[in-house]
Amino acid sequence: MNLTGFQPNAARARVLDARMHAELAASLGHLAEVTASADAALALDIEAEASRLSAGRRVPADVFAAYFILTEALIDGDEAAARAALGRIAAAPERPAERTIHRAGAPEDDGLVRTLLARQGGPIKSFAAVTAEEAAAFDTLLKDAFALLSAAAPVLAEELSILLRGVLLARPSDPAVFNFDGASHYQFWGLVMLNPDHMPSTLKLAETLAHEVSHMLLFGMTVDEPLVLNPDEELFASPLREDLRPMDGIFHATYVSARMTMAMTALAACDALTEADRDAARRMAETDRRNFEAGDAVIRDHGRLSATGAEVLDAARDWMERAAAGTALPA
Amino acid sequence: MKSISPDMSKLLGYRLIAGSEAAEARISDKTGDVKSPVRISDKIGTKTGAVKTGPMTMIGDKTGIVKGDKVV
Repeated sequence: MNLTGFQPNAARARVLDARMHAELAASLGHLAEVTASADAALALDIEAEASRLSAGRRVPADVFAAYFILTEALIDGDEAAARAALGRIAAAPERPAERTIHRAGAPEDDGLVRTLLARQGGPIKSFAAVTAEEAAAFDTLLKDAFALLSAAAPVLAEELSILLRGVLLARPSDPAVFNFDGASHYQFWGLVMLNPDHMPSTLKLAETLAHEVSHMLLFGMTVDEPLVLNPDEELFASPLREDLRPMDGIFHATYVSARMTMAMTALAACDALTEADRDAARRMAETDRRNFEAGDAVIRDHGRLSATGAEVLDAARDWMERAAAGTALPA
Repeated sequence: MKSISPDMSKLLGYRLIAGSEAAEARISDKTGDVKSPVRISDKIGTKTGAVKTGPMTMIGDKTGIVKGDKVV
């Protein structure tokens, strides 16, 4: 199966999800092997979790984060931290079949929020709460956005739905200092964070889903090697941000802009939308295309792509050319 | 407990930088820099013109600094 193709593919999404879990199992297995000489009992417990995953266990996003925390703790020789991280892996429930909505401020989501804040390594110290009522309203909006995408781009909608296993609703504590539409994090496979204040419409949320979950698609493709070989210290102008970004960030921004172009182009042609919404989708698609072209220009000038990165981006470029010519396959 | 020295190329997420020249030094340094793998591929949803994100991402990466309603 072609795992790096640009065309949406539900089977590919399932394969990527399975592969991430298989990689997690293999990684825990390796950690268990290497830990055996340092702490045999701990090693056996790590191996037990590896076995559960190998047997088909599916885990929520914060289990992946706990694996990274466990790895660091073991390397640091911090037994207490390692045991705590392993405990979270062991105690996590089976990932629900239905997508889960989490929210900052919910007591049951406090652990997830704290872990995400800790792992993001940036200046965000806290989130402002999202109420249960707001979360319920957002859940309805999310279902509507997926219904819209399903009408316009059914395979894309299915692919996004398979990859998106959880949404954390959160808003910045001080939006005057730092703000966001959404976020995704390699260490939280399956989870996207969304700011409900920046989703004024179903159409906007549909575009954001295409955006954020496409980051996750790239995460799923990026298991064996990075997308780019440029050092992180090299910074370049990004089409989507004012601050300079490393090439990996520009690659991601460029690729998701192409996927957003795909989604909005399909919505612009969908009879289920009002004429006004189709016009809005068309304008959004045009903006997304301009962003893709701007980012791609930076990559062409300065990008050092891995084999995976080249495959992924060439597929996006090909689709964008075909779309411009009116010959792209439907999504 | 004694610290361990895994083969980073066998670990999910860490092998993304295992092949990078710039990253080798980070991987081999267990103190502090071992956390650098979290820099990899942390992505933030960004939006044209307006609000953007900041660093749910790379350590040392620049944040989205908001002036008024816009991130600049």
